[in-house]
Amino acid sequence: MLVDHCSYYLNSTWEFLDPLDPLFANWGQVVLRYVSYICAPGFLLINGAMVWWFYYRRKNKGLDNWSIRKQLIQRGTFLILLQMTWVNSSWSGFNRFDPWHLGIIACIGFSMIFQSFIVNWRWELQLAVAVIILVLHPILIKIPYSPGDNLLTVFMQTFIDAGDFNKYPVIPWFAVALLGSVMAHGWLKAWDTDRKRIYWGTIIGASAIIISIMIRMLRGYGNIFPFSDFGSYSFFFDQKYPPSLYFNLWFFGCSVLVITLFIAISKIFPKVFLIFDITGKVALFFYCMHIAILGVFSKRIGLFYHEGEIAATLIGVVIMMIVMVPLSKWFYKVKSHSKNFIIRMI
Amino acid sequence: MKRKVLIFFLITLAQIVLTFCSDRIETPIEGGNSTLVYPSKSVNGIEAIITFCERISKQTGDPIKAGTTFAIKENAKVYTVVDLINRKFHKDKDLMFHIDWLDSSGNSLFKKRIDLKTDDSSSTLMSSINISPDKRQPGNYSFRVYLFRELIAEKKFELIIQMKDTIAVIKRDLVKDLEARITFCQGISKKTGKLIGAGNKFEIKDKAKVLAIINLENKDTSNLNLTFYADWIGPNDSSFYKKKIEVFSNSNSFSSSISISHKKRQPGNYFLRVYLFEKLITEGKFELIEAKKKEKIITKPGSENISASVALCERISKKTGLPINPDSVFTLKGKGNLKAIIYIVKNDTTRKQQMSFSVEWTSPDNNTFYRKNIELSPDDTSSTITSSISISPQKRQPGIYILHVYYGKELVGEKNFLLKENADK
Repeated sequence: MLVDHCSYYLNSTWEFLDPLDPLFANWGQVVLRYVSYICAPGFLLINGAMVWWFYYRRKNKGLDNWSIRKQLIQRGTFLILLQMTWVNSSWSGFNRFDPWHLGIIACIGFSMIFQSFIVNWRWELQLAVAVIILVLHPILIKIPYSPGDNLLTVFMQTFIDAGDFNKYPVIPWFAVALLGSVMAHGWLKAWDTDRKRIYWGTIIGASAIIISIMIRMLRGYGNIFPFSDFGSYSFFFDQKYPPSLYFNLWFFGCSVLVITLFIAISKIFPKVFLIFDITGKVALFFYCMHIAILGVFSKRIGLFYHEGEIAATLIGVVIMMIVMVPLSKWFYKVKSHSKNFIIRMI
Repeated sequence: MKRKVLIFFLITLAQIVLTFCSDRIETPIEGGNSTLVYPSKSVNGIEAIITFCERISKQTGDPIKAGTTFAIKENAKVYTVVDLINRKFHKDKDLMFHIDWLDSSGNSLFKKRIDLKTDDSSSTLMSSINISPDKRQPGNYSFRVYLFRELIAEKKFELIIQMKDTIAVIKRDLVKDLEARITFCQGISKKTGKLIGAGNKFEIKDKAKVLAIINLENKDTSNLNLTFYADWIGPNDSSFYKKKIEVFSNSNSFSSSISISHKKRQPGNYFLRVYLFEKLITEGKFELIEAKKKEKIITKPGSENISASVALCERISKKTGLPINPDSVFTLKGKGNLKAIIYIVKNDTTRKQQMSFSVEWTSPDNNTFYRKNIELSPDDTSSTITSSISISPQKRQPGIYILHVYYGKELVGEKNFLLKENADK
């Protein structure tokens, strides 16, 4: 995510890059963009898992379903409002206030609200709902409409399609969040050892990837962009906005495998992910602040805005980590002691 | 041991992914037609040859005036034709191409996705960009072709501004405020340099001509020669004479003329259109009519045997009583007066009787706006009478006026004259 956002502000490729139909000058640019493709599926997956964890932790404390649901709806609504206010404005370095636009944070908020109603269902039922949504979505995106400034566009791009109003439609991403909830059942309840987590994680991740490859190879249903040959560059680059069925399954599988890999690596190198632990504890703060800093300094003030390429992007990542890690550490301390509603929410 | 296995596994995985993914060899080679080609790794992989041209034949689809250097011009385009090699081996799947036009800084000007479906056997792609001066700057441009988002071919072309076009642009800018006025007449006096018979109606006569004087206003004083085109249009709306006229930097007027002999012209309405840089800047209209007997000095050989001739001027010499700079073309002025000196010619000098003259001034719309009656007693020996009118812009309009002199009720003399607007207004 940080890599992609640094690229968005510092990399000259973004001067003309159309994220809905991207072309890249070289392999470096391809890799730079492609590594970020795992972010949205990863966010939704983790968020789905966190909602599951939140629900059962509150449940174990004796809260009833509606009390927990109310807290999740409250947080989901907060995320939607945060998208429309802070996040939307921070992209321009607070140069303009543009509330009528949604994005990944709003999508997570909507998913959280929807998930609050079924998070207590058995994992098999949640999985079935997720699969049904994923299977239906390729049909739903064929609903014709004329993109413009109208309610139908707002509805379609909020829930089904992607465009200027919203690149992250709720329905397909909600399905990924549900898959996260299902995975959380395994990670946090059913699989009681790391060995089991690694084993099942590998099986599930690999299975999702195999199914996605089969869908891709059929070249029809579940695909949006055509591709050349199996394993070729175009094979992996299907549409992200909105995600195709292949895209969602592929990146769900990749995300599960990466998490499994992280579990495996952290067993061998226990301290290697400490840096991510700090930022991960205040992930929303990290998201909101790093875009704001980049927006103000790069876009608004014009510091290296779209001037560099890959090297500049990577240097930007390092600089931002140097800035953000202590900032996140500080905010975590503040948040731990604060009773302020907004600070607790971030 | 476990650590080493894990690191080896990750590095090997990354290498496999990076080498396996690309369909293309990363180092380009120069293919046909100077196209930079990124060859396919497979034997029958699709390759692309790029050709730039000024136009494409509508009948054959072939490029016309192919090249890599193009002049920036109004409404001009650069077309590109991409020939796809080995297309026949890939008819069983949809092909996704992107074409991308880039400027000299490498910025994308125009990008387009072109999908060739399985039922489309096309083996060429076409695209074009506008190269009007308001849209493009001179420089090196390039065109890229992507297949499944991988760059497969690239070719550069150059946009230039031709020197003659540059000069034309500069000239056009310098003369944007220029205005031109046409005055038609029958000739110019060699003695005075004044116009003869100015007007908009001329009689068709042998050896006669219509001369158009084109006065230029707001002409830039820079050292610039301008090339005008005078186009004479006949009653049938077709051009019968076109003349290229070079006007030097120090000149503010030029002329063009046509013969109006019976052999060459028919009665009717004629036009003169004046063009500069292919743009119409002014147009004038005049009428040719059949000749009728009309003379400036009308002699009435009747019972009275009196005739009159008229001289027009703005000032009369106080010493001699003669007109100063007599003319038939005058400029409207704030406090100006136009004076007419009418010379009475008595063919029978022995007759002694009261003579009643009437001087009538007629405006371009054929209204008599001033009449003056003058009585000459039998003892009066003077042979001239005078009359004057104001020629201020408040009172008069530009156009052709007529002065009539009557002896009694008989017309004994007349004079046409032109009042024109002040060019400095």
